[in-house]
Amino acid sequence: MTKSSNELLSDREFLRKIEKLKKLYPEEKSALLAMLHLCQSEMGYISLEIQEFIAKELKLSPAHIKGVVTFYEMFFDKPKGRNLIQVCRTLPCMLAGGEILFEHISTKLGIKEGQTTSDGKWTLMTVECLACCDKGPAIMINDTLYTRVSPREFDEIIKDYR
Amino acid sequence: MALVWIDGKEIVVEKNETLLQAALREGIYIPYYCYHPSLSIVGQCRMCLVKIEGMPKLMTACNTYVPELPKEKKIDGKYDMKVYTRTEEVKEARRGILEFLLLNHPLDCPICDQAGECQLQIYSYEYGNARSDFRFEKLHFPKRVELGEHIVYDAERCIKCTRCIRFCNEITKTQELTLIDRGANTYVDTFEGKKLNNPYSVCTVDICPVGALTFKEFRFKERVWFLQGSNSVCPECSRNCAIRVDTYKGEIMRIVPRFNPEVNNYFMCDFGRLLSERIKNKELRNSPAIKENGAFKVKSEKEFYTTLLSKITRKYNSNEVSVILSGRMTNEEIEAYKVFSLIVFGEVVGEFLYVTGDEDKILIKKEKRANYFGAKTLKMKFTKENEDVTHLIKNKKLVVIIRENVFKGKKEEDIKKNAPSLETVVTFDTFFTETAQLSDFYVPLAGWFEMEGTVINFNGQLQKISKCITPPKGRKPFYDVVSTVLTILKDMDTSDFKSEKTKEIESIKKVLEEFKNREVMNKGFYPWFKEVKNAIPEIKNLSLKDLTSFGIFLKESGNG
Amino acid sequence: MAEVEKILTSRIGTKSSSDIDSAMQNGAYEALIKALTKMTPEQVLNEVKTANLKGRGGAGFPAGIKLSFLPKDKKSIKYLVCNADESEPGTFKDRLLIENDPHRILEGIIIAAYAVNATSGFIYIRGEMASGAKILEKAISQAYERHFLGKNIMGSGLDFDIYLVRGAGAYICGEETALMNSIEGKRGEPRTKPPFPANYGVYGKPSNVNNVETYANIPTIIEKGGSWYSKIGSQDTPGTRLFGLSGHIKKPGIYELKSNVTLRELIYDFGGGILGDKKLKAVIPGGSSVPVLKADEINVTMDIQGLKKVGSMPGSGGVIVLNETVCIVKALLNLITFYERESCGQCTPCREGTHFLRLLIENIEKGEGVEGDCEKILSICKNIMGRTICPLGDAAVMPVESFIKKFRDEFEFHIKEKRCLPETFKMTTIFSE
Ligand SMILES: Cc1cc2nc3c(=O)[nH]c(=O)nc-3n(C[C@H](O)[C@H](O)[C@H](O)COP(=O)(O)O)c2cc1C
Ligand code: SF4
Ligand code: SF4
Ligand code: FES
Ligand code: FES
Repeated sequence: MTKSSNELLSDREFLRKIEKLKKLYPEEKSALLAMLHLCQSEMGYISLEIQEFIAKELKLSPAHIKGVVTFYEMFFDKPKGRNLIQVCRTLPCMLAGGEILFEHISTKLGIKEGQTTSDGKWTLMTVECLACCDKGPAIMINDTLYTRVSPREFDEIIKDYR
Repeated sequence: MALVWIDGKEIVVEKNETLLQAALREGIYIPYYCYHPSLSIVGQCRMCLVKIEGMPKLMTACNTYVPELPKEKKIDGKYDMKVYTRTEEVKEARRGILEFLLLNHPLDCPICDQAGECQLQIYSYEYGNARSDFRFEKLHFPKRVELGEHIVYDAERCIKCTRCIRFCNEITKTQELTLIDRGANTYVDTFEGKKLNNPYSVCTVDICPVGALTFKEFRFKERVWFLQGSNSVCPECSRNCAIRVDTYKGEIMRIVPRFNPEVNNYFMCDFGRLLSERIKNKELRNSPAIKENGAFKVKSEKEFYTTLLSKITRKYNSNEVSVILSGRMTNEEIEAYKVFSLIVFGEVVGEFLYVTGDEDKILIKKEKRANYFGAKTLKMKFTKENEDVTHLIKNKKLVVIIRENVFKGKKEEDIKKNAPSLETVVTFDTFFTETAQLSDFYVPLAGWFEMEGTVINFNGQLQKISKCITPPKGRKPFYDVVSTVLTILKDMDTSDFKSEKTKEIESIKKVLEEFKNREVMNKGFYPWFKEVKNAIPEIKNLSLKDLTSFGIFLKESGNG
Repeated sequence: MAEVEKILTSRIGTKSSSDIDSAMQNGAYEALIKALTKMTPEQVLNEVKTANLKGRGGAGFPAGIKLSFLPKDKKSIKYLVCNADESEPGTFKDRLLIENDPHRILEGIIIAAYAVNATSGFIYIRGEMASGAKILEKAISQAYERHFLGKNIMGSGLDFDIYLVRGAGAYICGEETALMNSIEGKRGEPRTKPPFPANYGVYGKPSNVNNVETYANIPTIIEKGGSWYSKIGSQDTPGTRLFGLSGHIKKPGIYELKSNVTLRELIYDFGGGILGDKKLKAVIPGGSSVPVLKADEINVTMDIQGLKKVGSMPGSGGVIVLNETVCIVKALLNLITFYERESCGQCTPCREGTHFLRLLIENIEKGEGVEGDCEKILSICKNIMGRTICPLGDAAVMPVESFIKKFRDEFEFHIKEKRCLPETFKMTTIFSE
């Protein structure tokens, strides 16, 4: 989850996956988002070294990669906490009680939006509608979606994370 | 081809032409930011909105093409489109766009280099009170970012038109720039450690419609409205990019590319542009001088040339003489040199240095002397490619050098070794170069930006350079030097030549006789330009007026 | 109450409905086999046209007609794109199909491919739907195993591949041209049109983009015939739709209904009424980008004609219910913040305008509004509406304009009194007792 750039770049398995992704689509460049997803899942973010590496692999300019990484909300170009909590802030979830949940989480973890706990365990963000508005308030922790989350349930959920 | 009605005017719009292009061509004014004739069309700024009859929404003129309508569908029986560019709705829309663009803009015109040539400022005056009653904290963006060695970026002034980005993607294909982030947080940036340093980087400053990108070497130098601009071409390679030289009180402030569709479009390379910086602080002398006991002594023109001519005229056999010429000489200077050579050597001798370097697929050409092709057209001889000077002067007694610094990095001993019998070195050049310092006779010449002249580029385009700044009296174009020589010769006692060969004296007299009634005796550019016309059949009937903007294309010149 | 017809959700709820075997036991791929074996591509296309199937992604364009814009030849590369970016606030129907009946979507895409001789397809799924992507990935590989994808599908001569592309968090990538740029590994910035996707789409090749739910209708159309389909429910939007109920509603969820159902029926009969037994205050009937309705505007059918009567649109079918405890200024601030955050930033009016609107609305919400703010907001709306590259600009303006126009008093109250209406001090949530 949190390999360094050098570790990643000398990881055979990773390089093999990159090669595979290159061949996945009718045109190589279509693999860019998939590669960035892969790198982020390995490192927790997408370092500059990795961005340059991908640029070379796909014959794109590093600036292009930077433009893409900063455009998409799911990509991070700086390290974040081990776990990312994203709380849906959009209207249906807000109506369901999303603000109450967010306040709870923020108090519980002692961090505000965009911040990371001092032990590096949690980063707290808001996110826009996660397409499960009937089951709000919704949150995502890393890749997992949780719905109808009450403050009490949240406290239970986070016990499973290290 | 379609017929379009715009504000009561009929214009023809070609099939692959946009409404905006056609309107601009016809002098119909539609404001725009993101459109640039040399770049792809993105339709992002939304400034060029116009009203098209039959369309519910305003349309962007920059990406509207006009399809031809079948006869029965033509508007008013003949138009393919009717366009209004000055209705209240259109003006209101433009005001709206301006208001948006100024929301987060620092409004710091008083300290902005672009003031006076900023499209934001210009349109704001025009559409009035576009500056809103904005009472919120503006978004803050990076300021004074060194995007490249010569480029400073102010993201707060940037209107995100992406011209600079497209330039690097489409023209130089170097792709240093990108938009980063999104929405209102968007701005232009480079990848860490990969600066905007391509050979054309400063063109981004030219095409930036506002003051977001500034040229470091020009920052805060002078307000643009005090500058005086003169047309010239860049002397640094055989492309001859058309340029405008901006001066202030006789000093060159900056060089900017000037549109010439036959040569360089809107662009030029940084190397050419930075010539303005390279020529600063170079040593200049303003009168001819003769070395006496190791030191140069300034002489009056008359004394100088009398001494020089009696020293070199018809004194040597042609194998004892080397004349090194330069593609930095204008056509007129070359023609004048021919006369000079006939008098002094009895025939046209001398070789042009064939100096080459890197070339690219954009503008930069291999031949590093602007008028290489002019010299070729005028049938001059050339050295081998990048030939070493030691070859050229081997065992010579007289070496004459015009506009080349051939002894750069060489010591007197080196030269002596190669040409032990060398008696006289004569140098004509703008700067007091190493070569000039090693000479026995030195004549300062007017610089490229200090004289009139014509030059021919690699493709055969003949363009004119002009006197952007006035040199001190003592520094003249080489053609004026030759006119001076002719005048002096006329009054000279031929016995001063100390030549035993009366036959040759006769021949000099003949040359003089021939030129006595020609205008060249009177000095100045124009008579020599006429000589050039005589030398090139293709331009026999050319008038100077034909050269005012883009120059003219010569079939017989250039690389073909 | 409108009679319930199940087309799209008929397999959902059955055991392991996303698995190919169980789906096939319940009729999956029968329509594809019918199309490949008994029909010509032209016949297939004609059925879709006859069905008058309207796009379910928001704009409601007739799917058959859009497909027929693609060049007809057999040789050139043509792409079909399935838009599974589902990010419109209040919309969560595609997720249901993706997670529970992915084979219905695949079958619809493959039938469409046969109809227009498409060479390959892309499914673009929003990045946050990680589990949905896994389900689709598995479904695609199962379809390959059964030879519903690949070379010479079922011996019909049709070669067709489907590629799955995961987005990475950008609402704008649901806009079809932004989506195509994203597939190409670019920033998700919409392209100017023309050229349209049918001529210049993914990698510059002719392409057709349809929503997940749109494709999912195609198997039934082939199975039962276009004219059968065209007679179901509303004339302007035949078939059934997956309506999503969220917000202050007792029984939120997806309801598959004919679109001549009225909004009142949807809320009170299907949705069980208003959460907290409070009064209804407002409804957004088709995802956050359509104009809001007031409580007295719900006696209309959920089709184009019906919603037009009250100045709104069916959009994506996401119905967001707001009861009387909602501060309307705050609700609008929530929405405009969404558009501000999601603007791609290419074009001036949307990039700067959504930001400006958010500032103004936020100020009113904070009690710092000044007289004239509502007018200023409306004039900014005017300067955005219809002046942008893609419809996100309009999408941002429609809620703003309609909120201000329909709830002007509440905005003015905030500006004058610097506080919320008393009844909105404590908003109902699912946590309210
Ligand atoms: C800002 C914006 C976001 C959109 N998001 C989606 C989306 O998430 N899913 C979708 O199917 N269509 C979305 N659309 C509509 C698509 O551009 C396109 O019209 C649609 O996918 C076409 O499919 P359909 O004809 O089947 O509805 C969006 C449009 C805009 C302007
Ligand atoms: S820096 Fe200038 S050219 Fe580049 S995007 Fe900004 S305003 Fe346009
Ligand atoms: S309207 Fe908004 S989202 Fe659409 S292209 Fe313009 S800036 Fe981007
Ligand atoms: S608003 Fe939170 S999932 Fe839709
Ligand atoms: S010039 Fe037309 S949109 Fe920018």
